[in-house]
Amino acid sequence: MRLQRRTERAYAEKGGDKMNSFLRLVLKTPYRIAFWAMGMMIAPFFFQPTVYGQVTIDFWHAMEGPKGPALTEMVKDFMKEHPNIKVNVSLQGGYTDIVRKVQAGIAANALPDLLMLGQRHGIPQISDSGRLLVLDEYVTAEDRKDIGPGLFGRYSYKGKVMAIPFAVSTPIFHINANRFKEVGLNPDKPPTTWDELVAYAKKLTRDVDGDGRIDQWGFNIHSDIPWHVYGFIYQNGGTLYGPDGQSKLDSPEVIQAIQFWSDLVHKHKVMPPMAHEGGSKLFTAGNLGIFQRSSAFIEGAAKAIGKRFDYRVAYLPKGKIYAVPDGGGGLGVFKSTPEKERAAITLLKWLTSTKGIARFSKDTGYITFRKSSIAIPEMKAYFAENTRDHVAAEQMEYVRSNPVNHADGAIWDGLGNLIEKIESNPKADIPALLKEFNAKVNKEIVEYRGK
Amino acid sequence: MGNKVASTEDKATILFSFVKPRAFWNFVAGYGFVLPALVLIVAFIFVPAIYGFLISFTRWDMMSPTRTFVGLSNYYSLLKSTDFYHSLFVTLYYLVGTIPFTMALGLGLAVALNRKFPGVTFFRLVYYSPVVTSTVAMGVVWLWMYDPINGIINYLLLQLGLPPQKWVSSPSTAMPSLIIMDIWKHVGYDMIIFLAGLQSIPHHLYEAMDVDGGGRWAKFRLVTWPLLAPTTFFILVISIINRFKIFATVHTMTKGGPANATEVIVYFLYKQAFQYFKIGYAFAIAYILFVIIFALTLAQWKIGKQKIHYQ
Repeated sequence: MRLQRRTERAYAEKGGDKMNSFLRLVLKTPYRIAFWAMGMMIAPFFFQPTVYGQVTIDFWHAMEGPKGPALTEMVKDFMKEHPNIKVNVSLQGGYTDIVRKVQAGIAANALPDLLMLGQRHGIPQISDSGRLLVLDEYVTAEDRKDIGPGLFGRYSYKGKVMAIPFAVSTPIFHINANRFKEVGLNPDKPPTTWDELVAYAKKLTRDVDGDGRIDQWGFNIHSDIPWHVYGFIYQNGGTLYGPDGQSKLDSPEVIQAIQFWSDLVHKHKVMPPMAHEGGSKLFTAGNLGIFQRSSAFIEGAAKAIGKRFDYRVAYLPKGKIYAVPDGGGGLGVFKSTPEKERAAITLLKWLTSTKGIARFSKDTGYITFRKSSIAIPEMKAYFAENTRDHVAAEQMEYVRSNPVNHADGAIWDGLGNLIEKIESNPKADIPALLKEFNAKVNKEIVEYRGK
Repeated sequence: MGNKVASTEDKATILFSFVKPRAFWNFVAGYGFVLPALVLIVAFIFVPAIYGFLISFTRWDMMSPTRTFVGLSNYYSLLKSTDFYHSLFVTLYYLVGTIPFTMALGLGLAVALNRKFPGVTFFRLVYYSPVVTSTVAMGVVWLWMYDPINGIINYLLLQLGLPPQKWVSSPSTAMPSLIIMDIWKHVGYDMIIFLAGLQSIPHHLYEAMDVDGGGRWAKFRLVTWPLLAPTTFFILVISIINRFKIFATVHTMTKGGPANATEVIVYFLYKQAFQYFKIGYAFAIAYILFVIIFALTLAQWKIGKQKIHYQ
């Protein structure tokens, strides 16, 4: 107000007493408006409308694109059912962004109550911070049976459940049935073993216009390479870590799996080298027979393809066994006050219930991973129309995951690099590369333990 | 005081002048105006920088409540790590690949566009426009163009009867691909600075050359180039600092791959901090990077002082 008076004085000095009341009003008004506007902006912080017994919680999620609004709608319905819980839903970017924000949130003591955690994004580090609530007591025996140990393992750390699976996806074969028929293959019988995959892909790889360059490829894998390498390793009976928590990346199973990948490119020449980035376009354009990519791609692919060709999906083949790696994210709860924790758990249970998972997977294209969700009549009707989603849900029988390890990030990154080295160099010494890589990862693991 | 040299007494008067009421308000106003900027700089640059320096002596993931003091071990293991030297090498490759070409092209364009002809503003605008577009958006567009199967660049190469390339998908061509895009993106900036430099050269020097019968090349060699030296020097210093900090292009286009071929030093740092959660180690990288850039700039200034004559 002092400033206002001074300015008025300045005007008065200029215009003297001749300044009429109208002008005075005109000059004063902006100040008055500004004063009241500021007051109204600040006021809500002092007088927050509080409903007696109402709890407000924050929910951070990572559902980018149309999946976010679908989740927000679900939470809105939750609030209708639970009028005493208010949820602030906010998209925080992808899973990597969310971890970065948690890092900052821990330092600033500004964490959400419910959090979506990527299955390979910092679960050990966030758990070790001591801020995550251990969820064991909220998971019933039926839940464990309904969801299966393959998924739960991925969200447990040091033997305790740190998050509940929610937005789940796995790789799946996306198949162009028209290409199959053209080369005399039966699309009702997709390849079920590695050998069959090679035989099929060889037939599907063709130079149609005869210019010496292949224009129809048999097989390709999407650019999230390490994830698919996990699949190859599991299918070959291998694991990333031994029971002692040390990495096992130089085991014969892993070497064979990587060798098979390399052979698809260099020996059998059915997969274009270093062309994973363009795989999706190649597939939707109709120039790829079999494409291995996440089940989350089904909806987008179906839209892009339309009626141009017969698009189907199939299980990944088996090496020694059938296996698919898990992907996506789960939900965790940060410690806060007992009321907030209770509210967050209520929302978590509501979202991951049989009904919740059914609705979420129907609305977003994530996998219906609860066996009980698949069985409800609503979902049966949905699957009758969306057979591709049904295949993805049934494939969950073979889902596998590696136990959470803080070296996950290093392994993910290193495997990607390794495959790039191998694909760009036919003479790469795979056992030697894996041995070197394994030693590096193990050093990290020992270093982390030493802290 | 006039033009007299201030005596000790005067200095004292100036120093304590804020005691006088009027001068006091001047003092308050002056600092009041600087304060917002100062607070921001201290809070968001100096404090984090010093804090980061302290963290570089610890092992920490930014989440755990405990921070282990490890002394110089982060620096020690960094200087032993082959990945670090690899990323340093990659960064130098990038520097050597981009800076000379961007500067030469920028100078060429500046000389060409430092004339009056119809549409000159249009051309200046066209060459400058990549500078102001978003790096991330341009990265995505270039990725489409570089696509080995569906990309327009390979299509054009095929039309010309040349072999198609793998571009960002192969370890051997990934870095050159990034370099080409970088040159395209930054040539406009160098051009504008060179243009400003060119226009500050007094015209009478060229007239004198005309009288003495100097040709175009002589004019460039004897007048333009020496008088542009401060501009060239400025661009060189700024370019080296900026190229050392390259991150967004790599993050959008290659993520340091394929096979680590484009893992520049800042991307290496980012991975350590936010993928491997080794914050202490990452800060050690940041401080080594700081020392490198500081030393390079200092060396440039030392050389610059001897070689460059400001008008």
